[in-house]
Amino acid sequence: MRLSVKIAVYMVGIIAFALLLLTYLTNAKFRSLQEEVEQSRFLVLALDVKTTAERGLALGLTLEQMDNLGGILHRLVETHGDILSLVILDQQGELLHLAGALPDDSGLSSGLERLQRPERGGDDTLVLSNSRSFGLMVPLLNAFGQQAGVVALHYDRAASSALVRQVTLEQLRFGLAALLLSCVAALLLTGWYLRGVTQGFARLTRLVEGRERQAPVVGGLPADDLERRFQVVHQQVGELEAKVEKAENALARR
Amino acid sequence: MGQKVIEERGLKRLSYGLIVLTLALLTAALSGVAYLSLQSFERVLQPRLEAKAGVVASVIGSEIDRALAAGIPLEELRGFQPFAAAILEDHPEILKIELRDSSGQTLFASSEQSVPAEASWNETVAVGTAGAEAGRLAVAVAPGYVTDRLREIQAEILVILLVALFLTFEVLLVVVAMFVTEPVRRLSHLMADGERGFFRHLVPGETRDEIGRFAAAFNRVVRREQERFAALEEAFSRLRPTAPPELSALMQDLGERLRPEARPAAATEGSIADVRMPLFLFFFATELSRSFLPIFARDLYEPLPGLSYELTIALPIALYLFLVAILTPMAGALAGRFGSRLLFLLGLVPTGVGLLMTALANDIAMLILWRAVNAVGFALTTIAALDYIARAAGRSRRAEGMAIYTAAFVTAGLCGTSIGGILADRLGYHATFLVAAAVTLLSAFMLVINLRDRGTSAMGGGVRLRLADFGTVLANPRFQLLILIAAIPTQLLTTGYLFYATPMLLDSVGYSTSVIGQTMMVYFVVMILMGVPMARLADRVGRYRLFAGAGLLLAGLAAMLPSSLEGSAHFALWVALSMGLVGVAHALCIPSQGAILLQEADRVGGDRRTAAISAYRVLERIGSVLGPILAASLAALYGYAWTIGLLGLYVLACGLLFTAISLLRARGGASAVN
Repeated sequence: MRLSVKIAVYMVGIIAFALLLLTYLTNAKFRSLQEEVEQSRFLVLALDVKTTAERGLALGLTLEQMDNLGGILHRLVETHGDILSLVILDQQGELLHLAGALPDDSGLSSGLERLQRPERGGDDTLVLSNSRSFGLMVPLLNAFGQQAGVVALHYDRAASSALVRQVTLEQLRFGLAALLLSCVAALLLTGWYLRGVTQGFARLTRLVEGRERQAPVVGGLPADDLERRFQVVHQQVGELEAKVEKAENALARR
Repeated sequence: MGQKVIEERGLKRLSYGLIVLTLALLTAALSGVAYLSLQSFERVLQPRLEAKAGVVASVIGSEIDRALAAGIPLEELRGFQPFAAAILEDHPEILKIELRDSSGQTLFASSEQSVPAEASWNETVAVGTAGAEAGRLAVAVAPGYVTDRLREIQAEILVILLVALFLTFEVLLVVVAMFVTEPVRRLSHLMADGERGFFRHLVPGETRDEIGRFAAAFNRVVRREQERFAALEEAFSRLRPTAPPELSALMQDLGERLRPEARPAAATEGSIADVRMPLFLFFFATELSRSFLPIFARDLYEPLPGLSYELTIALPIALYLFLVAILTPMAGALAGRFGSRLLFLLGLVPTGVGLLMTALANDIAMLILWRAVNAVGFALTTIAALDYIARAAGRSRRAEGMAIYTAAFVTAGLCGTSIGGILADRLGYHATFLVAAAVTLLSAFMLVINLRDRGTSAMGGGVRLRLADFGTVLANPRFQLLILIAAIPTQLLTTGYLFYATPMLLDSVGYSTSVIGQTMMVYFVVMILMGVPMARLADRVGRYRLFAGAGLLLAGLAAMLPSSLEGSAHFALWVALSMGLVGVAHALCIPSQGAILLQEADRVGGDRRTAAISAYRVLERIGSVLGPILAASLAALYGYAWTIGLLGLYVLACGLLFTAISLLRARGGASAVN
């Protein structure tokens, strides 16, 4: 393998390492940003339902008595195609109003249990996530600030996952293209930059093999230095060959 | 052989040129990919932001519809501004919401601020009663929101660039040494023999590159002459009893010049550069957990019988340092038995296994156990590397060898700490240990392909450390002074403050491991940049005690910075400044402490000189072991910021004492001379 190619391989290795890290880092940031945007969009809807429900609670109605809630939930599910389900549960986990189809692994009961833990703030939103859907659980508070139930919204992560996949593939394409270009550029530039060294050694090789005649050497590269010194070595080889020949002749005469 | 073997300037120019080329390509590639990624993110996220703006508008719209249904005219909705402004507080990507009448005239807005022309407007939500449209809501989405949010990882991207920069230096210097400098050096040595007319050695390792082809051609010439001589010698042996004296003399002369030697010329054996890459990777693997190890220990904490909470969480670091300190002198003997290559490989086994099992550890006892296994690996590997360097460098290039060892350690510290922090932040602690185990494997691979076995150990033949050597050091007041009030405080601050308390402090105020890694990285950057210039300055000035004292004083003061700035804005920046100053202080005092140690060891003299230095090195590690334990114990009482301040105060006091005693001794010495 040529010297320039060997060195270029290592150069490309460093570039590949840095590109990999950069791609990973930016992709991770994109994922979290994308998730944040999606989540906040659905949180706006869930909070709107919460406002409506809490207005009723403040008037002294129970969640069961708020017949209009079902209609609101249905309208929201119809308007926003990504929403899988919108439900209102009471404190015991009983499903009071439902729009859409609740995912199998909705995690509502464990979510409710977590929301009811004393260490949680009464108004904290809980985020649920599994491979197919994201969920938000927002507690409903009565006029005394006590939890009276929960609004739970599940939305499909298929569209979001597809977007992430698309962007990841694009990033991989950019990374590979940059790596390929860097590879070509590294090979060309290293070849060009090391031409003095490689040509010097190639000439030195030809000189040793007797395919080229010695010429005065000027320059500061390693091959030039060796070539300058090879002139002395060459002379020594010549002298040695003469001695060997002399010995051969002497032995032949015997 | 007094000839200069290599045109060093030309080779250095070659290395630096290649580094510049790599950095140019690296910057272009990273900038290009970052720019294109950003474009892609904007394109994908902007419609999602606009969709969200639409949802916000519809929620506000339903409230307005309710007000209109209650009979309040659109023009009278004076509460719109505070209502909309309050909603926008939770949605930073939305710049402004306007309520417009049916003619498009703005009636009310969430704020008075102007909206940039490139902002996109969502005007899809109509407001009104009984199906009659009274007006519309217009929501302006910030144009550069995605770019602004990606600025949050700007520091991490800069860290990647910085790490890549140091990596480029590290790797390319090794690569140029491996493929150019060392082969040329070997050739040059043989050429020097050739200039005197001796051709008994062949150039080892004929590669297929241009230099290798030249080496092969040179070897062919040498082999040809050696073969001719071998044939002559055979013919001559048949004639020997009757050979004339002049022919015998000629044959003897030729024999001295051409008879092949079984052993390769010492100068043409493996080089120091061969060990640099595996060593760097090994250190990199061990440093990946630097920024989060104490936090990881705290997270895995479970009560252990007879151990306090503080001691338990400090134990994974303290025990590791203790084992490294006591195993390192023992590992020296193993280098003699196994040879450095095999010992290095053997050392990588506990390192890799330890890291892998740490990744799987789910309680503190397991973590402590596997860290202990890691310590065994560290002791074996570092001794093997030092042994290899000692033999490959020989006496003439020992300083260069040590510089390579230190450079690998500090550069790996920089890269490992920062990258480890980023990885832990994204992948988690366990996965980062898995990455570290994989890097250990890579180190083993590089070792197998790079390192040749160099036979018996340089250390095996060295002076062995005896218990009496510790006595020699401890009984000597000059060594006592150096160990107790210079070396131990320096080591204590390094492990107690930098490696233990910093991650805990920054974590306690809510910084991510990525930021912790970047903060700790500053110490290594400063050490890399200032280490050699400061050491040279100390050598030039020659007042090592002054430098050692100044370093201790500065380190003490720098460590007091976090406690005095606790709770201030951008606290991590202040801690980073403190780290940087400790780096400057250590660059001032560590080489000077080494120089004073050599001076004191010279006073011991004789064959125990080296043993005294080794004993000192073991004893100074008491500071390393005590650092995390002391920091953890103090933190339980005073919190991390004040603990660091107290450690700083201790180092400052030691610095004052060291300087005062040094000055008194200098004055005493001067008056004795007078």
